[in-house]
Amino acid sequence: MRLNFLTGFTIVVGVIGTAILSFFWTPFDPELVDASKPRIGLGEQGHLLGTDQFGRDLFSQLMVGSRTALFVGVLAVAIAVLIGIPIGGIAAARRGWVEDVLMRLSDVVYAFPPVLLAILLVAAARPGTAAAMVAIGVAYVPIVARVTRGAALSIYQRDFVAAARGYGRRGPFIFMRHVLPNIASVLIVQVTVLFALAILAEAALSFLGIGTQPPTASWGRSLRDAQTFIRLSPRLAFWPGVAIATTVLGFNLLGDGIRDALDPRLEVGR
Amino acid sequence: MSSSGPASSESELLVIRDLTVTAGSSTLVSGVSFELGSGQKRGLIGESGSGKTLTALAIMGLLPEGLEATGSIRYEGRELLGLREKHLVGLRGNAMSMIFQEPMTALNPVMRIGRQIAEPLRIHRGLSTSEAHSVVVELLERVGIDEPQRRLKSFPHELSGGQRQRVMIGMALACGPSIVVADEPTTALDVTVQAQVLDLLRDQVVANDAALLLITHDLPVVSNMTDEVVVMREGSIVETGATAAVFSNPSTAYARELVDSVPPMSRATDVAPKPATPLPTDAPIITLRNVEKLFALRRASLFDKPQPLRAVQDVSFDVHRGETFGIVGESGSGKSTIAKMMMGLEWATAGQIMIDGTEIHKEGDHSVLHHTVQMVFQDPNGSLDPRLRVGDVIAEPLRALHIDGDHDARVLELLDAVAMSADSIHRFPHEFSGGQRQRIAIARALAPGPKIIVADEPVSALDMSVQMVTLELLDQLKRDLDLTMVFISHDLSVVHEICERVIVLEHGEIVESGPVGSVFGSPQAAYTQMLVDAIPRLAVRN
Amino acid sequence: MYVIRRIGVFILSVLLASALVFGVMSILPGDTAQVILGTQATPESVAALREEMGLNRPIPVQYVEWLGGALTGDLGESALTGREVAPQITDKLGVTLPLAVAAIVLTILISFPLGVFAASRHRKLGDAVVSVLSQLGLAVPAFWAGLLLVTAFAVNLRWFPASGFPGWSESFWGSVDALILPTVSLAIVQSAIITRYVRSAVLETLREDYIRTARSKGLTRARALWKHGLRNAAIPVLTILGLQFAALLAGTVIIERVFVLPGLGRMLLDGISDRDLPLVQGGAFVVVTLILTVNLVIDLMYRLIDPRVAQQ
Repeated sequence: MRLNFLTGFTIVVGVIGTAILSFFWTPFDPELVDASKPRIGLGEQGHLLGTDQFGRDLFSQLMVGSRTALFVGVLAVAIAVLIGIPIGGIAAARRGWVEDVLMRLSDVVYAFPPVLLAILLVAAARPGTAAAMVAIGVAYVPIVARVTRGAALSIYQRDFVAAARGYGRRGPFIFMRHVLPNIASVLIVQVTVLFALAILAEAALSFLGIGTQPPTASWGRSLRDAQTFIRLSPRLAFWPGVAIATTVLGFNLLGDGIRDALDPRLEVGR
Repeated sequence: MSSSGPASSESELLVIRDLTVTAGSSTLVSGVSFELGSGQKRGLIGESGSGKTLTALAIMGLLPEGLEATGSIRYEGRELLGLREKHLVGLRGNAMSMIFQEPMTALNPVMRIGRQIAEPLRIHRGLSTSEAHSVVVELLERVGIDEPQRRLKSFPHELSGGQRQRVMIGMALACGPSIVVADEPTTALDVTVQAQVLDLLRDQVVANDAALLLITHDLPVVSNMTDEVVVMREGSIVETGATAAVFSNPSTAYARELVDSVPPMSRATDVAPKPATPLPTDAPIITLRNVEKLFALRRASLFDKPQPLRAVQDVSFDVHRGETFGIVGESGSGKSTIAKMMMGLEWATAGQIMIDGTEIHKEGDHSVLHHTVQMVFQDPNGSLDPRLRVGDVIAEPLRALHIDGDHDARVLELLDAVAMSADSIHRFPHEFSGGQRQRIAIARALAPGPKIIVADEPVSALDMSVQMVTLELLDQLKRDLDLTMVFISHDLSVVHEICERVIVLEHGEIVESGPVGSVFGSPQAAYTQMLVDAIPRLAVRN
Repeated sequence: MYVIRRIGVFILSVLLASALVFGVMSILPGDTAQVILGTQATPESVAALREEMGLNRPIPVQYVEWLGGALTGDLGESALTGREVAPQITDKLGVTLPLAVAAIVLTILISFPLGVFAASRHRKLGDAVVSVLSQLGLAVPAFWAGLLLVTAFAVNLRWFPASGFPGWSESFWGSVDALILPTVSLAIVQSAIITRYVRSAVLETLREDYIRTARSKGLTRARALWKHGLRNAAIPVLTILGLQFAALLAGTVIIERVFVLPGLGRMLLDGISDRDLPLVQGGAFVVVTLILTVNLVIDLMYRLIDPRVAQQ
């Protein structure tokens, strides 16, 4: 299973590297419109993946698109984690009605998939990367809260938490010092999975036109643009999808690899 | 590789030769050989890691995934190892059956017990559902389950632990097997229930003319239930022989160690009543007066009133400075709740608790409490934070309570007091054995210099040979540091060994109290008598 | 009883969700009255219309009124066309719901056998192959799969329509045809997810003590799993199916754009660009209620499968 981890890690590093690189160099200017060469094929005239309907280099567009994917991923996951972990932690620590209420609220929010929340937000405010981020992040809070609560519950049952209370430690301290480190591995795996989901969600929102707006590049929007030309240049619909799928695959494999590495070895019986 | 032993072993029901179980490159069981004759009862004794359970699973062909068995296991002359599954299934549940340790997880939680018991009957005897029904009812009666017609339809979680184990016994004996393998069948049960279930097992085995292979770590139990015994340690057999002989006169040092670790009260010899130490006259250091603890249980529906659980009812007692005070009871007796209330981990819903002259309340400053009372918990696995190094584990109370002085030096001092080496401070809890972890837990409890140590089942989770050593350590520390110890346990013989006075709890109330020698020697309350009678005794002929 | 409690929670959740939907829409900077009258309207006429529509009243009051209507089936009128919202939604559901149901059915048909197969070939080639396939299936955005399928089967092979939906009353089989490629697109991703869960549920169950007990009574591994494990393994699988329904419904919204289907998704998206708030509000509310209903059904199914649940 090391293969999972290595492959995933390589892909993720590759994507991050591409994003960083895109700030300094791309084969062509991604926004350069050149009416003379619309929809050029693979490899022609130095365009690795051809050009889009406006003559812009597809490969450069994809490189820049990686920035958006990662940016939204990071911020959406950050929102989900910063709100979700405390909620899950409090639910696990307090139990009783507090736990019930928090988890019910969480379930209601969970009934709003990211797309739906985004639709609401965009209808209310304005489409764009910010709306996408907030919608995705908030939609994933319930997942983080549930996972945190589940893992934290079993830690709170353990005697070393009782011992800590016995020598005077208070709730928040116990959570930070004793509970979090022991649930960290579960959370890390969850975060990588969420990253993958967030990238998919952003692509979907951009595809629908309510996510990232022009001129900011986004893989999802490239697919949206490509749809118009599906009969003429199906290739335009192919490569952005590959970019999305590869990146998502990378994060998923990374998450699997981490989880396999951290799984306690099955204890052999006596 | 099968070897031909002496001629008589060919007629034995089960012959095991050179059994070896490996998991990858590590060997878990090696070179195990013994026989089981028809109708014979043999015990398989060992501590954790001895390989006894794996041996049992190998016999049944139920080793977990990834483990391999080599050697020879012959049943009625037929080699079992390497036998294809379709042949093995004909034997399991029919000629050979097994009883497992944890009845809650060993039974399918979503299937009614009637169906589960009927299964071997339908598979091996070809009975239809209705035919099996009457047999199952009869089986349930035989194993002492009342209202069998109604109980048939119950699910496992609706039965008590003892009842579940009775169901397991019924299931195992349904097809009249010639061998019953019982893996720690009563370890998870209360001591009074344990005695009943063991009696049932023995009766049923005898009635069915079956051979019994009883696997356990509990010597007194083996001494009562078996004629022959095999002692295992770390995967190999250490000693074999007749049970009575091995226990009276063990020939190996390890077996002798095991026998010696059985406390006097668990021996069949008459126990001389422990002389009562005179009651100290100064004011008690712990006082409980009419203490009550109610837990609010979740309501079954919005319409029911909340039903409170009375964990502790009207409990009053004193503990004097410097004594070792025992609190005895089975599960649900409230003993752990009382322990937590002494520590400030739970608060009484009525009554008073005074520690060292001060009454303790939920509100208010608890720092005095934290300095005065500390606890040693039952499970050495769960009582230490696996992410912290041992040095930090012991230093935490010092930091939390802002105790003056050189913390590092104090940690080393404490490790020394519990006979652990100084370089332990850099290592993690999982690198140590259960007994060692318990010592670390003791060192942590002693760190703030408390006057009172509350020990909640401190040795119950440890191997026998380690139990005595740990108890001696606690006793010595108590004397050296002039501590008061409150010792909570379900194990009367251990309490008898180290406590001076004791209270006996049943369902949250005190049923008896007094010096340990008289309470256990001539109990006044019926419940205490029942507890004392239920203790399995090691029959030792001197 | 468990059932009553669960239904109570359901009702509460629907109310909360409605408040959330209404609340988000209320903080909008836009103005419904303005939209209706158009950009040429005078400020006075806009103000008059606002008064008439009751848009100046306090938000909680508007909410209660809207909620009251919603529970009786009246979701207001579209700001753009003036037509009632509720019938439009019902109409669109005629496309979205069959699509969602078909996708779930196809998912189950693919993932259950595949998951069990993978578990039975644990540590062997079969499991690895399924693992790789499911990883790929997970990574693929459903709408991209849709685009690729359109290219392959609709544009090149012309087996299925690339877009459009004739309507059930117009052409039953034509409508079915139109839903096939969208269903497959959705099912690819969903199957990948569910297969993994089925596989791990089966593997987990195989390790349980009661399976070992069953084998000790004389059942083969396979029979033990079938008779004892199935019901137990169903519990986590049911959970994930329920959780995935929300994602599936969201997926249909997106897929409708790929295949130009006149479903709820299209209605919501049009509503956004037209700033037709009552439409978006009503549509979102219906979607959420659908999801919560499915969750309720799943919870009630737990009760059937797991006797321990009733006791909680």
